[in-house]
Formats: sequence, structure tokens, C-alpha cells
Amino acid sequence: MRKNFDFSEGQVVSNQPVSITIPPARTYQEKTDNRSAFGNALVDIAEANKGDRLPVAVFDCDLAGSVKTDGFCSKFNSGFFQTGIQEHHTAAMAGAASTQGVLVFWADFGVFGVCEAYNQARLNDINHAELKLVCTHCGLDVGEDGKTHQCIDYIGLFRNLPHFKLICPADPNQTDRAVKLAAGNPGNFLLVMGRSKLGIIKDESGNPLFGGDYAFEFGRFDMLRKSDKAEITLFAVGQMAEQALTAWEILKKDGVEVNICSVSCPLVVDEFTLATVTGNRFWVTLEDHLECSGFGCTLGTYMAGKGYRPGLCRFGVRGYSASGERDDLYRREKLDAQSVARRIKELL
Amino acid sequence: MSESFISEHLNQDEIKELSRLSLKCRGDILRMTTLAKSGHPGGSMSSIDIYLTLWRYASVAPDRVSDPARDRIVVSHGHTSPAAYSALGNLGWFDIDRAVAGFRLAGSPFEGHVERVVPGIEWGTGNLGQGISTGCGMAVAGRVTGDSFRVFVITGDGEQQKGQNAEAARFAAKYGLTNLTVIVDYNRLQISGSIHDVMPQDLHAEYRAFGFETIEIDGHSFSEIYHALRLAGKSSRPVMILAKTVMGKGVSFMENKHKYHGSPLSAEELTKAIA
Repeated sequence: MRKNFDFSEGQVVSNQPVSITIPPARTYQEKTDNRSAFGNALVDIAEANKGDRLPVAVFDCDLAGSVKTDGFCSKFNSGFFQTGIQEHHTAAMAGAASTQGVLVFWADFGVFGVCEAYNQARLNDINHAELKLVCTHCGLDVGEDGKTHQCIDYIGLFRNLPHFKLICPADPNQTDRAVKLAAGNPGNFLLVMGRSKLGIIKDESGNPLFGGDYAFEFGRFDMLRKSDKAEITLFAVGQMAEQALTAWEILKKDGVEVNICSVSCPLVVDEFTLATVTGNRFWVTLEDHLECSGFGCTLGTYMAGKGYRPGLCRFGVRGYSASGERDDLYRREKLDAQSVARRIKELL
Repeated sequence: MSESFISEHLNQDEIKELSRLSLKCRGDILRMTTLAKSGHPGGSMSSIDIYLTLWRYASVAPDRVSDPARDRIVVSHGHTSPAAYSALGNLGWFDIDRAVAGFRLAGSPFEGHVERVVPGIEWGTGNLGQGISTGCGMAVAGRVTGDSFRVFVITGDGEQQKGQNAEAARFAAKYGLTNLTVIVDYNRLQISGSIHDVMPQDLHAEYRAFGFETIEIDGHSFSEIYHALRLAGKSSRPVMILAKTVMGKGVSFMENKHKYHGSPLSAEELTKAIA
């Protein structure tokens, strides 16, 4: 008798809409950190939407100065909620609030926003929330805080949440555009960034690649350097683009040409860009993330399905790391530009 | 402000009607769990009178599911889905027979734990201890948008053991979420037995320490439930209503037995229960 009921219609979940004006993008020319670019973009969004009522709420777990929501707090205090060191509650509360006609940002360190509150993120995903979760201090780039503070599984964990869109911006210009894209689009987003100041990603003429009129498009790979002679494409996830470009320069001096591809959405494969480099001998992934569950897995799974021929080499973090400066940790993990250049030469 | 619980008291006709609905809902709870051969009838029968009073007298209606000014009713103990579906179906939000027939059936919206695809369900829960945080999020959003509504969160008593409730209660008190009312279905039983044996707790003292007002009522008395929910709307603090209830309420051989937390009746037992 139960089988005779038709339940195929009407299973729709809709959230209260929020209308947001997206401000113009900024262009950074000088080195700065992605988290500051996030903080500035957040203020830009609030400025563009202020009026009788600002439809923006920002939640903080006692880290506003580090995750750069302090600028929003000082200018738009009525939309700023200090929730204390209570990440589980904050994650659930922020997700619920995001379905009620409010643009909601929750910013925290990666280990808290991603690892600590994973269950709540899963529930937000099931409930079709529209949370903009911004996690700084991700990867080994957390300062000298050591293992407990290194969120090296943000791709691996959020791979399991089908309604979350993951963005790892390469530099402050792409961060600015990614934050504004997330603000203007429905659904859950996780934006991942490290702690350090980063150089601006530029083209070979020295112009900011992600500045000016560049429009961030979710899921698109950006080919930063391309050569017909290249036998290898190096896919750099997020802020590893800076290391990849330095490695490119080292290799060029040594007469080795490689393509450099920036990957800002490591759970998505840009098959049109990939199709331009299928003749390579090797595809190499470079990420400040566990090798065993990062973008290398995304790419490897895709390649296996397509039967693509290049060999796949994954350069990532192989275990819990040490407490120290980012550059020292990258060297220990062979993820710094010098090590990457050397490892690529060993492939050829 | 939210137009809920307007009259000072329920009149005798209203109590009579709620009692009639309560009997019908209890039958539906037992029918759907027996038909599905799984589900949680015990807590459903302890929460049903609270659900009926809430969905009947809060400022909600089937034609206002997207109204920004509607009250929000959050079910934190999502396993009491049979009670939530019974209350909503019998109050006209959907055809109750679809819920009875479709409960826990693959492809049906009437899942084992409540989901948002069911009209009237504001949040999908199942992992316990999430409801008060969810209610805080809705209350905060109302403050940002300027919409005036009340937020009701119904929770189990066992799930009060989870630390996240303390986080949420502190936040509600700090931000003066006076439109938030938490109702605890205090049937004093969880899967392993008495809540006092599993993990001792003093909910009155804990919530008062957080900064809540607390009220204790008989969770099967419609007049007490109604009065407490109305009173909570006038409080200058968030309110926790401790509703003393009976697991399996309404069927003599089910009452106060923790095995019925997650065990449906057999067909023979069902016949005996609804006779």
C-alpha cells in the first residue's frame, strides 16, 4: 500500500531571499595577506549595502583581529556578533541565520571553522544554508603554532559536503573578487586562506593577473604561464601559485619550460583548460594540504575517468608538520619553490 | 510583534478540540511507526501535546511558510518526527495519510528525522543539541532584518547533556534574545534509561545560571502549556520551559518505558494500543 503514494513533487526547500549590492573590485599592486583583502572586501560590501538596515551579519569567535573582521566590527557594530570561543554553536547559528534573509559571514581559523565544527557544516549543507565561511590560517601557513593549528584537510573534508563551494584564492586580488562573488551568490561557500603576506600574481609583463577587469569565475582554472614546449603542467592550489611562479623562474633559467596553472576551486575540474595540456608527460599538483586527500585526488579521479595519459605527481603535505615559520615548513615538506623546481627536474 | 497566544487562556472548547486532536495524533504516531517497522514513538507521545499547542497557537500557518514575520518553530530532537508530522498533518499543513503511509519510506519527504522539505519544519535535525543554536540564528536574523517574530525550540531532555546547548544559552542571554523560548520535553528517559543515571543534570539551575527565566509545567496539560508559552512572550529574558511529560503517554503499557524511545509496536500491540 505504501508504494502506491507518489512523493515525487513538492520537495523544495526555499530560503528567505536577501538582496545584496556587490561593490566594485579592488586591485592590489603591493604584497599583502589574503585575510586583509577579505576584511577589506567585507567592509566594501557593508558600505555598498548600508541604509536603514544593513542585511549583513558577521560572527566572530574571539579572533576578529586575526581573521580581519575587526574593520567591519568597528564600522558596522550592530551587524557584528561576538560569540566567544563557542565554535559549534556559532557554526550552527550562522548557518540558520543565513536562511533568513541575511548575508552571513563567519570567519575563523581553519582548524576551528573547518575541523572543529565539521558536523555543523554538514548540517548546514543538509539544510541548504547560505553561509559564507571564511577560514584563515589554513595549511601550514599559520605562524609558528604547530600541529594542532594546522588545518591541512580543508579539501578532503569539504569534498564530502555536496552543496558547499570551496574557493582557495591565489592572491589578494583574487581574494577580493572571490569574497564578493560568494556574497552575491546563493549557497554555502568556504573560502580558504593562509596567514602570510603574498606577492601579487602577475603576468609576464608585470601586470596583476587577478586585478583590473579580471572577473572571478567559480571553477575556472587560470593558466598563468604557458609554453608549447612544456612537457609538464604544474597545478598550484590557492596561494601556492606564488611558489609555483618562483619555481617557473628557476626552471626557466635552467632551460626547463613548464606550464603554471592556478587552481582556486580544488573540488572542481576545469575540463576545457585541462584539454589544452593533455599532451604533457606529467601533471604535477602543488598544495598546502595533505597529499592524500587534496586536489591531487580530485585531478587523479578525473584523469582516471577520462583515460588521460600524463603521469600524475602530487606535491603536498605528508603528515602533521612541525612548529615553525612557513618558509621553513614548506622547505621541510619540499613545497617551497626551490624544492618544487628540483623535484620537477627529477621527473624529466 | 508576533500575534501568537493572544487569548489569556484556552477555553473549554479549545481544550476539548486539542484533546481530540491529541488522541488522533497518538494513533497516527503509532500507526506510522508500526507500518514503517521503525521510528521513535515514545518521545513522540511525550512531545505531541506541546507540538499541537505550538503549531495551533503560534503565529504560523500553512499559507505563510515564507512569511518573514511568521514565528519559527524548531524541532531539536528530530527523532520525534512522528509527533511533528502528526501535529502538522492533523492541523491541515498536509494530508496526514501521506505522512502515515510515507514515514521512513525511500523517496518520501517524511524522513525518520525531520527535514525542511516538510511544510512547517524550519530545520532538519537529528544530531542532537543543535536546536537552540538554530533558534538563536533565526532570532539574530530577525534582529538584523527588523522582522518581529518569536522563536520556539522544542528539545529532548537527554540532548541537554550536549555542551553546545550551554554555548547557545550563553549567547541567547548575552544578546538578550527575549523572543526565544526553549521547551524541554522532560520525560526523564533516554535510550540507556533514566537521564539521572546516564548523566545527572539540573536544568533549572543550569538555565538560570546562563541568564534564562525558567518555568516548570505539566507537559500534557494544554492549559499549562498554553499559559507558559504566552507568559514566555512577555519575559525580559529568554525562557526555558521544563515540561514534565511521560514517555509513551496515552498507552498504559508504553508509559515510562525507555524501550519505546526507538522501538515501534508490533501489529498486535498496535491493535491493543488503539482499541
